[in-house]
Amino acid sequence: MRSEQETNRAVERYGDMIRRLCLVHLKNETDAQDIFQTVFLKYFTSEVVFENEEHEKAWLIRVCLNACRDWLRDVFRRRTVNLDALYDQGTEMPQDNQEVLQAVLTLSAKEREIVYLHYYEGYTAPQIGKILGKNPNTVYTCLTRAREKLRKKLGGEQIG
Amino acid sequence: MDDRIKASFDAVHASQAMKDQTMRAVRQHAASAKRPARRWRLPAAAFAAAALIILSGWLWMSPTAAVSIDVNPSLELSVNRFGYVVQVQGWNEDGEQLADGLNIRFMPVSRAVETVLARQEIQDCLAREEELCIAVAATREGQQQALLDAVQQCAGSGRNIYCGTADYSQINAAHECGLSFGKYRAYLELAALDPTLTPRQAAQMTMRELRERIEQLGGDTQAIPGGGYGQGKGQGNGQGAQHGREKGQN
Repeated sequence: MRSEQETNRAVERYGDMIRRLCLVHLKNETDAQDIFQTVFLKYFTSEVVFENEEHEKAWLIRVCLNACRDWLRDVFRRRTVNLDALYDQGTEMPQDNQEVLQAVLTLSAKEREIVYLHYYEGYTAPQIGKILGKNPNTVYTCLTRAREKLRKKLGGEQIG
Repeated sequence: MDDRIKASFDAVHASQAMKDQTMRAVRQHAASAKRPARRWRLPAAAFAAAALIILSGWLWMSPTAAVSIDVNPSLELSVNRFGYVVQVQGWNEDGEQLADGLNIRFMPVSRAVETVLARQEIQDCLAREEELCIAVAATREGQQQALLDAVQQCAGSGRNIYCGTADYSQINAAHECGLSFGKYRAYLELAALDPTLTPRQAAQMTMRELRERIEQLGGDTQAIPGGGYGQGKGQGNGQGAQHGREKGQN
């Protein structure tokens, strides 16, 4: 079990990342809060020794995505994407950002994860493949398909 | 476009409330993990319950007193501290047969004695003017007196039924000789007068035969219920404790 200080540091450092991953998967603030808490409680109770910060970050991403998938596996929670999550973020978000996020949220769950990890966290396809336990070629294919869909939705600009 | 995506995600943050709530949950978890007593509460309760069951069982099944009923069927009832019969044993052939036919285990001792006295074998013996001796012995004097009162009440005004007490510490010695402790004192008395007497022979003799033999050899029948049995007192036949003494004098 880790110390409270160590967990607090992780919450401060990775809290935004976990919140964004929750946004990619979950539909509302309440679900996001539950998963957020679950992830850091797992971190707090875990005995895993991290080799470096990258290892720690990748571990948290994996734990968060697995927690989201387990959460959504419950048929009672499975709903169509209704973008409530965006509205939960409040009205302070600029219009352009809302449009982009809405476009991302219309992608499939797998595509959303890969888009976030690639465009925001800056992971390469092989790195994403390692984190998600997928073949890098599958990641490439998925990324290309997502990029095409976003291009159609957000205009003709060349993406990444 | 990738800048737009990056900027859009950049606008998403974990709220302070979300972080605070999470840290509260972490602290709660840490606090509960620090309380080992709570973690051990269930196993401790289970252990305590098991210990209680075992202790209760031990208390219930451990004999603290005994009632010896001797005519010629020689029967011994082991009694627990609550006054219930926990074991029935016959100490000669007739006694074993009688014990096999009885269903008095876990009965209150007074009901058990009443049941024994009501048996046809016992009634037949009494009809033949045999003497029935009931001896009680207990580790605690209070229980011994309570048992004596109970068996005296059961004996009522029955003919040739005598009640008395005995020394609980002699039970093992009696059993080593293959005798009920009620018959053991009579055997000791007679063996002192007739060294050729074996416990086996005594086991086959009726209480009346033992008493008569002691009297023939000029012995003291005080040791036998009806004749005294220490602090014992007789019942029935209108003679009570004096019965043995009177016989001895006659």
